[in-house]
Amino acid sequence: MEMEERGGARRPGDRGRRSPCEGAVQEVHGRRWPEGIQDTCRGVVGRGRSQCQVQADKANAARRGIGDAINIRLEEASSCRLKEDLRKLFTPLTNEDETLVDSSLYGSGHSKKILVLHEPSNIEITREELGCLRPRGWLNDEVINLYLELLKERAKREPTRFLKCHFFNTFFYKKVIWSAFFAFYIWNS
Amino acid sequence: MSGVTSGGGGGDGRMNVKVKGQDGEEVFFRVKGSTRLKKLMNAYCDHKSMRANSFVFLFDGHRINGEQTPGELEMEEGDTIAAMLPQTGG
Repeated sequence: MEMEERGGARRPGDRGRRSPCEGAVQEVHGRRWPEGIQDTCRGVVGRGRSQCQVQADKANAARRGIGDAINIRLEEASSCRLKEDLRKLFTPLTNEDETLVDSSLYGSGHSKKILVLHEPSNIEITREELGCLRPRGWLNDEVINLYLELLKERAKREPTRFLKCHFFNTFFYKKVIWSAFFAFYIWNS
Repeated sequence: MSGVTSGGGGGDGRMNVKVKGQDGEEVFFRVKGSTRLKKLMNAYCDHKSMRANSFVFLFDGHRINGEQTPGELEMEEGDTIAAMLPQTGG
């Protein structure tokens, strides 16, 4: 009996003492609590909710404040870095550069004249090939591959700033596709 | 066409290399280690009845310069050179 009282196990006679409100709570929760436990639980929950809520609100507010501050700082930092990077990456051309570009793209001269030889990749860019970079021109493999080589070199030169990447040249896809096609063709003939 | 001959085999620093076109057709060349590959490239273009420099030659994925030699590229007997058509895009 002592256990029953302390533990608040339901006694048949106690049912009548419950208020309708308690019944409602019990109905809502969908389970039958022993009354003693029900009361203490309600008390704890009721008291705790207000205190905990306030604390949680404070904590949330603080967290949100800090979070916002961090976010703002991150955004600022990233936008600053982006601007800085763009400035570094896209150096404006000087007048001399502009002249050089103009003469390379539109200047007169032998179309087969080699303007630049990229030694590591053996890519030669002639005036004719560079001409594809003029407006409405069609790109060719040489300029694309040379640009990929330059990106490769840049990544190697400054490994901390740029991601380490592997660049396949433009012939890789063609080679793989045709090799696969002929292997398949021969296999099935 | 000294230094570059089609077919055959033998010693004295010469090696057989094959040039594989995009259509899978293989053409065999016998070259000396010190021969400039320009000769081989021109011979291949002739064989295909194409203008010189109408193919891009790749060895192990790297473009071959006509001034290089098989020795410089460390080519070995039976190695394959890929002959690709230049690519033009939009």
